[in-house]
Amino acid sequence: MKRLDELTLKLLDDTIKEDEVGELAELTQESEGQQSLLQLMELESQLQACGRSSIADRVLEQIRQERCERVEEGVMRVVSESQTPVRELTDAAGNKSLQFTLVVASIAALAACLLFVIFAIDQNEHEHRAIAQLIPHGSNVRILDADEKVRSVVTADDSVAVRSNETIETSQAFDIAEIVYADGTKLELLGETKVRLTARPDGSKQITMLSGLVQADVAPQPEGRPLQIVTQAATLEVLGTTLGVEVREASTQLGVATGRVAMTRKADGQRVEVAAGRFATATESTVEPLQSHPFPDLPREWREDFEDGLPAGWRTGELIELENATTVQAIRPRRSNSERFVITSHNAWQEGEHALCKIDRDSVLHLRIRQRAFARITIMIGTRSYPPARGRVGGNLFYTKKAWNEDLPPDTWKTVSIPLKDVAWQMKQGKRVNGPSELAGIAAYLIHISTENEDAGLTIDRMWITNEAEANQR
Amino acid sequence: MNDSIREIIEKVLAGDLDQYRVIVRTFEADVFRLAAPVLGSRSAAEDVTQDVFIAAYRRLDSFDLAEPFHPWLLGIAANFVRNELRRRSREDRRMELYSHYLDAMTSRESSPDGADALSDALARCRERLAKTASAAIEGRYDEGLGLEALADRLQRSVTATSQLLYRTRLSLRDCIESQLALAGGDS
Repeated sequence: MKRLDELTLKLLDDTIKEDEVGELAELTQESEGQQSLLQLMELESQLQACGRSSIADRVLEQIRQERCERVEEGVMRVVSESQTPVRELTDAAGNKSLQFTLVVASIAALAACLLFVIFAIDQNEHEHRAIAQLIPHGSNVRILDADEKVRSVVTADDSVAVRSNETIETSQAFDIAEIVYADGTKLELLGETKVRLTARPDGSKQITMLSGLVQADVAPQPEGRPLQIVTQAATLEVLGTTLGVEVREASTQLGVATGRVAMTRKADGQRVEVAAGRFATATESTVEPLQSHPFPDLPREWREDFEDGLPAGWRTGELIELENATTVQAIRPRRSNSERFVITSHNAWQEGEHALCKIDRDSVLHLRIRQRAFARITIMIGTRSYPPARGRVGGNLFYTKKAWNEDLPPDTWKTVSIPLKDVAWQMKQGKRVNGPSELAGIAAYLIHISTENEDAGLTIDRMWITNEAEANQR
Repeated sequence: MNDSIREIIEKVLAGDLDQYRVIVRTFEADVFRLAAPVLGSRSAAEDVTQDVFIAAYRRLDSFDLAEPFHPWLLGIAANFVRNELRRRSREDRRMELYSHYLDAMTSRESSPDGADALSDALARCRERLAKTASAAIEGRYDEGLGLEALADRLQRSVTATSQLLYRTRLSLRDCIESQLALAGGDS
C-alpha cells in the first residue's frame, strides 16, 4: 500500500497521528498527491451515502417547529399580560359584569394576541436583522450570541452578518477582524479583543469594548446620535473621525487621528474632548484630572535581552537558564487551545507604551535563536499606525519565507536578521496584501514567534529591532 | 442559475415552504458528500446537512437570484463543516488537508450525471468484491458498525479488519477509476 493512500485512509478513519498529519500534508503539496487524496475522500463520501434516505422531511419539520415556537412565544406573553386586569375587574364587580368583563377581556386578549403575534414576528426579524458585516482575517474569530454562547467560529475572509447584541472576539494575538457598517463605518479589532455591537432604539450605534484594541474609521453620524463606545472606565462619543481605543482591565486609552472625540470618565463624569494627534487615558481612579496629551515620539530601535527577567506583561514563553544565559523558550499558550509553541512579547500598546518602536523600510528584526531540530517557524509582528493617521494602516506582518531556519545547526546559538521590508502584509486598510509593502507611519507593538513542533526546542536569547539607515548615519 | 430552481426559490420566498422540500431533495446529496468524509460518520454528516439547509432557508432572502444556487449553498456547507472541525479541535494541519477537498467540492459545478455515474460505478464495483471484503464494507458503511464490532462479526482481529477495510477501499477506488474510464471511452 502506498504511504499516501495509507495516511489518507488513516485520516478518514481518524486514526492518524499528529506527525503523520504533517507527513500527509507534505505528500499532498503536489497536485498528484492532492488528486489521490481527493479520490479517496470522494470514495468515502460515496460509501457513506449508500442507502441514505432524504432528510427533506426533517428539515421542513424543524423549520415549521421554529416558526411555531416564535408564534407561541408571542401568544404566551399576551396571555400572561391579559390575566392581571381580568382579576382586578372581578374583584370590583358582580357576576353579570364579570361575564361581560371576561368577554371584553377575551376579545381584547384576542386583538392583543394578533398584535403581539405581528409584533413578535417584527421583533424577531429586528433582532435577527444584520447591523454590520464581520470580515475576519484570522482563524479564531468567534461570534457570541446575547447569552455569550458561541454562535459561530468564522473562517478567515468569509463575510458574516452580525446581529444586535452579539459579541465578536478575536481569540489569539495574531487574529484580526474587520467590522463594516452600512454607512461605511469600519472597526478593526486587533488580537485578543472582545466587543459587543448594539443597535440602539434610536438607530445609533453602540460598541461595548470588553477588552483589547480597536482602530476605527467612523463615517459622519446623524446629528444627536453619535456612535458610542462604552468601556469599563469611560464612555466615548464619536461623530465621525478616525481613532484608536485600547481597553485594559481598569483603563481605557483613546487616540484620535482626525476630528474630535468626547471622552467621559465613568468614575466622576469628568469629560474631555480629545483632538486629532492627541490621546487620553481614563482609569477608575479620579486622583489625576482627565486630560489629553500629544502622542510622544517613539524610538526607532528596541531591544530585549531578558537579563532582568521577563518584562511586565510578557505574553508567552518560559524563562530558562541555558549556558549561563537567561533565555525564553516557546511554550503552549495557557489561555488558548492552540497546539503551537509560542513566544509572544508583551503588547506594548496595551502596556501604555504606545508601541515597541517605530519601523520603516530600513528596520531589521534580529533574533538570537536556538533550535534543537528544524521545524517551520512563523514570525508575526503586530503593527499600528503611529501617530494615528487618517485611514487605517497597520495590521499583522508575517515573515513568509519558507524554511528560513533550515540551515541553522542544532543546539547552537545563531543570530538571524530579518529586514522588515521582506515581510508580507497580512492586511492593509482592510485588504489582504501579499509580498513586501510600503512601511511608513507605523510602529511595532508586539512580536509573536511560533512553531507547531515541540521538538524544535525553539529558544530565544535576545530579540531586537534596529534601523539600518540610522545606524549608518552614526 | 437553472430557471426552475430560481422559480422554486421565489415560491419559497413568497411563503410556500413545501417548495423548499424540492430544494433539499435536489441538493442534499452534494451537501452530504461534502461533509461525510471530513466529519467521518454518516450521522455527523446528516446533522450538518440538516443544519446547512435550515441556515440556507434563514438566509434565503439574502441570496442573489442572479447567481447560481449550488456554490452559494456549498459555501455555507463548507463553513459549517469547518466550524464543526474547529468545535472538535481538529483544525490545524488537518484543516489544510480537508481544504483541498472542500475547495474542490465547492468549486465543482452541480452535476447529477457525474454523481450518478460515480454511484453506479461504485455499485458495480461492490458487486465484484470478495465475500469477506463485501461484508466488511456492508458492516462499516451500510450498518455503521465500529471497527471492534465489525472485527467481532468477521471473527478477525481489529488490526486485520482495519487492513481489510484499507485494502478493500483501495481496490474499490481502482475499480471505480477503470469503470469511469471505460464509460468515458464508450461515450
